[in-house]
Amino acid sequence: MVNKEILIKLKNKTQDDSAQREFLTKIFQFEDETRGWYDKEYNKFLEEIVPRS
Amino acid sequence: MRITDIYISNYRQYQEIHLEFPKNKEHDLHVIVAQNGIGKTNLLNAINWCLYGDEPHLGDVAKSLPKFNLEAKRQNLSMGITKAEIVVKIIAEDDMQHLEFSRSLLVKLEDNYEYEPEFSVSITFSSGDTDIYENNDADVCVDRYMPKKIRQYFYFDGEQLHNYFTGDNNTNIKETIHAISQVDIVTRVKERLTKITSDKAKGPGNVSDQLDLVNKDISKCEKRIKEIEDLITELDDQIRKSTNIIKVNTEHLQGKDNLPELEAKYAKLKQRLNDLESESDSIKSDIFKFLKEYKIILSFYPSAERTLTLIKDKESKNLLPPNIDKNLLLSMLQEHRCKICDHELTSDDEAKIQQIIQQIQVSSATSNRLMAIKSELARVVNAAPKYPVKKEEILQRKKLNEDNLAEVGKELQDIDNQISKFSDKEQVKKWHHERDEHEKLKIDNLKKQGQFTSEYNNIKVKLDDHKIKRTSILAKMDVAKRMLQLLEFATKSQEIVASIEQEMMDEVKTKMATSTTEYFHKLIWKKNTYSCVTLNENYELDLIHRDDYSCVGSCSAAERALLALSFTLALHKVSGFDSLLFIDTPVARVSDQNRVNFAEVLCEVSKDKQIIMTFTPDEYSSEIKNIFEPAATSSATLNTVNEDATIYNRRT
Repeated sequence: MVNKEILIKLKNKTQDDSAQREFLTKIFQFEDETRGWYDKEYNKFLEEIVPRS
Repeated sequence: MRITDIYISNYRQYQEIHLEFPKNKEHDLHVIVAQNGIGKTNLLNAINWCLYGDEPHLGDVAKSLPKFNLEAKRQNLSMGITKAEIVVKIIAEDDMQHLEFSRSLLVKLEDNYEYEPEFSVSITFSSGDTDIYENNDADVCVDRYMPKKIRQYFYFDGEQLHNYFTGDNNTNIKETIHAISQVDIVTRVKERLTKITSDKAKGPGNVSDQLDLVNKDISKCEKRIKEIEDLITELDDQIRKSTNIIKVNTEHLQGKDNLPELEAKYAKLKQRLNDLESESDSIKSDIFKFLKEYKIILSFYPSAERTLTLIKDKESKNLLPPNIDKNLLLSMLQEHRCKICDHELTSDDEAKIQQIIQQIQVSSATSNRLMAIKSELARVVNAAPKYPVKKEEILQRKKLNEDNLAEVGKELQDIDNQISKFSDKEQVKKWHHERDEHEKLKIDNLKKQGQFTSEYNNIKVKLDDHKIKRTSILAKMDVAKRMLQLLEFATKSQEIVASIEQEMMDEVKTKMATSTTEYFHKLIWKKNTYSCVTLNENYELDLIHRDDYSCVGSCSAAERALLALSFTLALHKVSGFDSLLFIDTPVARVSDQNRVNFAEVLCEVSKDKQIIMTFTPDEYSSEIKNIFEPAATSSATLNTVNEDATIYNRRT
């Protein structure tokens, strides 16, 4: 399970950016739960979360 | 977490042993005393083997005795038992949980073949519920209480305590602390985001340059297409103009269309007339020659015929002498020698010459004259009969020439009559000329138009290709734009994570340094010598003298061991894994008063934490014993039976 301290710091540093918070939370959850290749998942989260301008 | 019991069956020196670690109210201190070789270190190995499946404190695995206890093996084999189990079971408690860690290994006793070990963890909660984990799940469970990565901070060799901060230990400590505090996850995320941003920064190539190039190609094609379209339009105009002129002039020339032909025919006939007139002059000349020649022939013919007949008659009668010189023959007779071959004449030769001379009646001069005119006479005689035919021939030529002249003259007259009907001869000529010119021009222009159309079609195909390429590049630019957006986002993510990482590393380090200092100040017997403990970026530990000097290098072995202990306790506290300490020979490297001091420290620590220590009898000297015995919750000795099995004798 991801350290609460990490999540608190993450929350504090992304107060003005919900997309960043959502993305990094997903990344940390992924890192906590999964081992192995990350590239595909990271890019998938980026595509899902970063709005197209 | 604290250990309450350890059960060992058939493991190395331990045939069957049960170690108990009860706790009293003040201390949680446990002392085990044993001679060297009895199994102190293997007790440490037994705990490691049970929890982690290995034996890190074994000197040389390859040269070690079999894992299965030798005495137990003999006993089992004597009873006909060929397979038996090694079991190490650790009973522990953590808060209100009851924990049982159990590893068993079936061994084929004849050849010490080891089957797959089985490992299980059972957790019984205060509610009475029990969770059981096996093998890999059990390994994960152990990590929740005493992570394998930092086991050296729970179970360690006292002889090595003073060396804790030398060599590669610092790297291990840093990595371990980062792993415990999950800084390593943050670092991993940061590095992976760096890689992701780096990949995205490479992008789909310099699409902007590619677009410029393809746009230039497109402009070039479009410019040429426009030029060709203009040229084709111009040619269309010219062709249309020529077609109109041809049509109009053809209409103008309706009925007057044959003037040029008439004029050409007239010119041709005129030439023919000239030729015939020349021929007429020639015929007239020939007639004059003919008449002149035959006037002579015909007037001379009778006498010529007679003379020729006479010559032929003489010839037939052989009256004409051969063409021999009579005087030469006479000369030869006089000289009796041949003037031709220069040999002397015989009488027969002379007789023959005499005979020839007698036969020559006509003189040679006359004969020669007759022969000279003979051919001319023959020509006259032969030509004369041909006169009528020749005359007819030449008259025919004359007539034919006259007829032709008359015919050509008539045709010329007819054509002249037709041409003379054209009142606007020059205009008709002009129309003709103009139509001919435009017919040629139209053909040329149609040919050019065909060439330009072909080029136009080729460029059109090229243009389509360039446009497809441009569409593809524009699509790539969209991708690049999106990639840039993701890159900016991921870069910001990476920066956030990097700042979290830095903060966490700083905080963990500060906590570790502060906590180590606190423990050190609490435990050190020299209360006024040292100001604090510091940790640098690489977790290299230093002790700062009260006068602000770095002094870890001049510490005694006991002080360094205390520093290691303080750091270990700080690590337990900061990591949250507040478990026991198992120290094999804790004061082995400490001597004199420091040994007493260090023993007192451990005694003090045991108020807050379970401490299990193993000693040799020498190490467990009277001054140590005096400190530990009153505080020890349990005190035991390990003894050997037949040097093959160790037994546990608890004294308190």
